[in-house]
Amino acid sequence: MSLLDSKKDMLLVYLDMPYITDAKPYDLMLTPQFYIHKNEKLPVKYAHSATKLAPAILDDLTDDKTYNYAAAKDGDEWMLFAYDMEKIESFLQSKGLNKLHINNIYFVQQVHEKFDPAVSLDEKSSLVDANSTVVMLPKSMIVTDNFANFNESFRPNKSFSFDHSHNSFLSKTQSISLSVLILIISIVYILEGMRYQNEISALDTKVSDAKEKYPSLKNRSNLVLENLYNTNYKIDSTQRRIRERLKDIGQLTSKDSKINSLKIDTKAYEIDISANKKDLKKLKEYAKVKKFKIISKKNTLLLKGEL
Amino acid sequence: MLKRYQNELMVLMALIVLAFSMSYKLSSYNDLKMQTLESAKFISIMDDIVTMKKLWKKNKTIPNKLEEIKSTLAESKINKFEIDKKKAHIILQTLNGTELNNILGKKIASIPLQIKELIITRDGDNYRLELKCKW
Repeated sequence: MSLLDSKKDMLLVYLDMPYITDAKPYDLMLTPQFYIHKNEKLPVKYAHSATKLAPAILDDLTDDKTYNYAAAKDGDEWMLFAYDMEKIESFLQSKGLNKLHINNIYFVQQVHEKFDPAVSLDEKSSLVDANSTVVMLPKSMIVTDNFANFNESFRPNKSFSFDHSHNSFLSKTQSISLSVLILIISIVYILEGMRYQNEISALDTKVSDAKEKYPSLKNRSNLVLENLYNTNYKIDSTQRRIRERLKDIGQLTSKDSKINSLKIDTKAYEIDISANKKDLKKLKEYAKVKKFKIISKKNTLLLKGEL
Repeated sequence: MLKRYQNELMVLMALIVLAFSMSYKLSSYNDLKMQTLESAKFISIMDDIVTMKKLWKKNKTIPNKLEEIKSTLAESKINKFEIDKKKAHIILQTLNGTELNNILGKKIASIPLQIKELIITRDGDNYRLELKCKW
């Protein structure tokens, strides 16, 4: 059997079936002891629509238990089935078959024509097609001794997946709703992510445009650009500071206070200003405000500092 | 076992998709934040480099502006007036206070040349000015 082949051994399920000893997956074929059946003409096209109608149609035949329902096409009619999953599960458990080993389920009714001649179940019972309905009869009631063998040829075309999910913490409806909600949120996140990626592309274009604007800098690496910036920034800031100092020195000179000497370069400055005692005091205060380093002599003010 | 928890598995798969989409969104957001800062910095650096270069290095009007200083002074006051393509060395002498103020405040300080050295000395009422600069 290949790994892709989902067909498992088929097992007829009836009350007196033998105990199962091998723990392998099985497809089950339920006998009439485990389902309620009715054929009905229905104005529906799909099996799930027929399944939805099954509870109402089979209502008279079922008791108050909770049933599972299934439907399969039979000519121009629908075969409708009701079965008690919990009862089947506990029965199978008692026969040594773990419910986790159950794959698909079928109903003998799906292949009723195959039960003519009758199929022997054990020494006493047999399954036989009586007027297109499979029934269980004692062998003593069967006229012939010629019984058919139950084998792979009995497998119906349509299978029903064994519903394991009724043991889950979440119901199918809850899990589908929750999953859809989570997927919608995921889609929103993905769309937002895509929007951010688009904005990144727009920024890349902006940078490319800037590079086109300055062809001389276009192919320079970031490191070279930073060095260029630092060199030019140093020149710019030094020259601005020199001019600030020249402006301040202009404020310190007047008719009565004159520059004796001034030396200013890109690193430091030194100014010698002479003034009378009265003005010298004012000049000192102003120089303090402007944060000059002050060295005062008799009638002169020596200002020093670094740029 | 997988069939037993198929509903939970369905939700788990959806949660895995959610985790991936959330990490995609967050990483995109972080990339955008970083790219925004880097782009702004890059463009600003380029703009600043060009502006500063234009101001302090590529200004072709400076020689003419320096010549204007020369034209306002008597020849006797010009000791040295050397203007090269990219630099200048100027020595002016016997300047009175007004001339010094005009040259210093209205010319030298307002022209975007790179002052390398400026020396002013006083001799009585006259001043000597020496300027070394480039552009």
